[in-house]
Amino acid sequence: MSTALAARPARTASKTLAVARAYFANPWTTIATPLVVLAAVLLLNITIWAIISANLHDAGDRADFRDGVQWSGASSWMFVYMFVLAVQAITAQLPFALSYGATRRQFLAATGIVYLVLSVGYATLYTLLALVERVSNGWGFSGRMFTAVYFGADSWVARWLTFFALLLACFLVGSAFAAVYQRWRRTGLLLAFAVVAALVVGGAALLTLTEGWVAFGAGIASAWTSAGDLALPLFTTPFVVVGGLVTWLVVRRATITT
Amino acid sequence: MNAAIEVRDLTKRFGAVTAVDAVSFSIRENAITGLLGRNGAGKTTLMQLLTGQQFATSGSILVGGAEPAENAAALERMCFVREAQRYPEDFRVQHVLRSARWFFPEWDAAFAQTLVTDFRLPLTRRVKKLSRGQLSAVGIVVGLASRAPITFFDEPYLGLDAVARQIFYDRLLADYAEHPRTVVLSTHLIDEVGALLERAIVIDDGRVLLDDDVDALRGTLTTVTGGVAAVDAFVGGRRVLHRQSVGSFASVTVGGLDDAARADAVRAGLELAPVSLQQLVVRTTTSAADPSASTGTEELE
Amino acid sequence: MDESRPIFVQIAEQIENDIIAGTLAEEAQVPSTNEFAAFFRINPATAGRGVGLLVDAGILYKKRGIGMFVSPGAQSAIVERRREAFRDEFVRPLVDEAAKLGISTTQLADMIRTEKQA
Repeated sequence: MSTALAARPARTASKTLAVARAYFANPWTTIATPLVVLAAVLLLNITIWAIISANLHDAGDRADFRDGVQWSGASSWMFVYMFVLAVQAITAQLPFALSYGATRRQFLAATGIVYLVLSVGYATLYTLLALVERVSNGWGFSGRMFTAVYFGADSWVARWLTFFALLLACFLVGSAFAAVYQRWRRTGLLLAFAVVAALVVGGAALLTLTEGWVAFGAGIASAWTSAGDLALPLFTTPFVVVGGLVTWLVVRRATITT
Repeated sequence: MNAAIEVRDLTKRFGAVTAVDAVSFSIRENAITGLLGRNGAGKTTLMQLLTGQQFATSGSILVGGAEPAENAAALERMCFVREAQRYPEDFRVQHVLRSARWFFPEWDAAFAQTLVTDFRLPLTRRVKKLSRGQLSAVGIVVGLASRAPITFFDEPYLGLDAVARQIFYDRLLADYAEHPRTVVLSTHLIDEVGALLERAIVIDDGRVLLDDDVDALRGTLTTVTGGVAAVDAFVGGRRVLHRQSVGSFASVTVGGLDDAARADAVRAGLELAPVSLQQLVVRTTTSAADPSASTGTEELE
Repeated sequence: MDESRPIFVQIAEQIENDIIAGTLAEEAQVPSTNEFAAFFRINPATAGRGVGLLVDAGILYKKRGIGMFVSPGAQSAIVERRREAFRDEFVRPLVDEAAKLGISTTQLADMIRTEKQA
């Protein structure tokens, strides 16, 4: 009986898969809720645009409306939601996984895969919706939610990469902060903010002292323009990398503190 | 007797606090071992170390010959039912069971269903909305149905009423008899759980005080009561774990009385009373806490 | 179950009591270790030790593949052994207590006779 159990080899892959599947055990959290809210926000926006359209009679006003709506931040909530998901991954999924016998490495691998899958999925969805938006001339009312100016891009590949990079960044930066909190609590979090602030202020101070603002600004601007469509994804990459690295390093020695 | 887990000189420090102090013991394979001790004695920390959830400061833990921390092969065989288990947001009871099936290769879904019915768990209720007792029951269902070769229960019955606790003990025993596995159970309801245990490890202040077969522990201590003079005369130089006196009467707890000594006591007109397992643990941990006086002394006026 | 004496001893005593009372006849099958464990709500290993005690004492024997049975002559063997212990366990305390209360031997004998008649 028991000797047979002892002789069985460890199925290391299975706990990793288990952790990944646990994110989808309740499909509402990662799939249904975002989709439902997305649909609701879209419908709400369309309704608002319809109402506004119905009340704009002057061509000049219409032009103003089209200008204004390209700054719509309506689609941004998804990124915040993913940030929150990532925080929950560390504060709830991690202790759960550890209690059920997963190693931290298995958790990190599984979570990384889940982030990638969700980022690919939602980036694709957003890109498709942007396509529909374009084709339908703003959902029939010159509305812009997925083609807001923030997302730049004329190339569809670049657009997809933009969404993908932003989502991944939200996941990894969210995890990073949550991981710091999980391991070092409030003190750690404050320290993390302090470090980030110090880097920003320090960097600004350095630039001021060396009067390098102009050069810095010019450098950024030229890098941005030369990157063209891929500017946003490229500039998001450092956040992805740092977020991922911090999450990895901090979770490797994380413990559950009730 | 094989050891499922071997611990040598294990120490865990949290800053200035030493939670586990150079302990050594082994957990017998396929036996039910009780981890007994007061609150804060180090039972939970010890279990967290054995399951790789905390990292040891020094010393070694061998589960099947390897350290458990970050060791997938070792952890594969373990299930830890914690006192304060965190579940993912939005999980309902059914999601916990669904997930458990993925994590535990030996998971028995039919058994889980029987237990859910026994404990009257509402499958569709959010875990966040469960009462303390229901939360404990969920943990118990997972721990039992996991059939993990090494299963840890850390005070799993908090919030459960006496009927539910009895259901737990009965199901544990029945399943253990059919499918033997290594079980480690920490508790301070010692007399309730005592009959389930084969081995007992008593921990106090991060150290192991007792590590023995429960059957060997039972009956090792006796309470001797009578007139102060007679009691003192009888006790002589024996180690006294506890002493209590009211007026001219005294009552002491001593160990290791053989039949001859017991006969002596009776002849001296003293009353002998048995000391239960729970009292034994209490007396041992209390006297360990105050070793300067070799007795814990109570004067009742 | 008395929490202050080894439980496996108590299990053995319970089984012996049943044999003396005739509830468990000679050559009758005895419940399995797991059944005892479930019935008394004790650890199966402990139940096993209790049964083992009786096997060692020749009170029970094992038929491979079937189970445990009461040995022939078990009842008389147990009665015999308990009679020997009767004196230490019951008679001596009775005499000591009677002495404490100043009950004479004759009075004690009378009490016993009356009790047996009732």
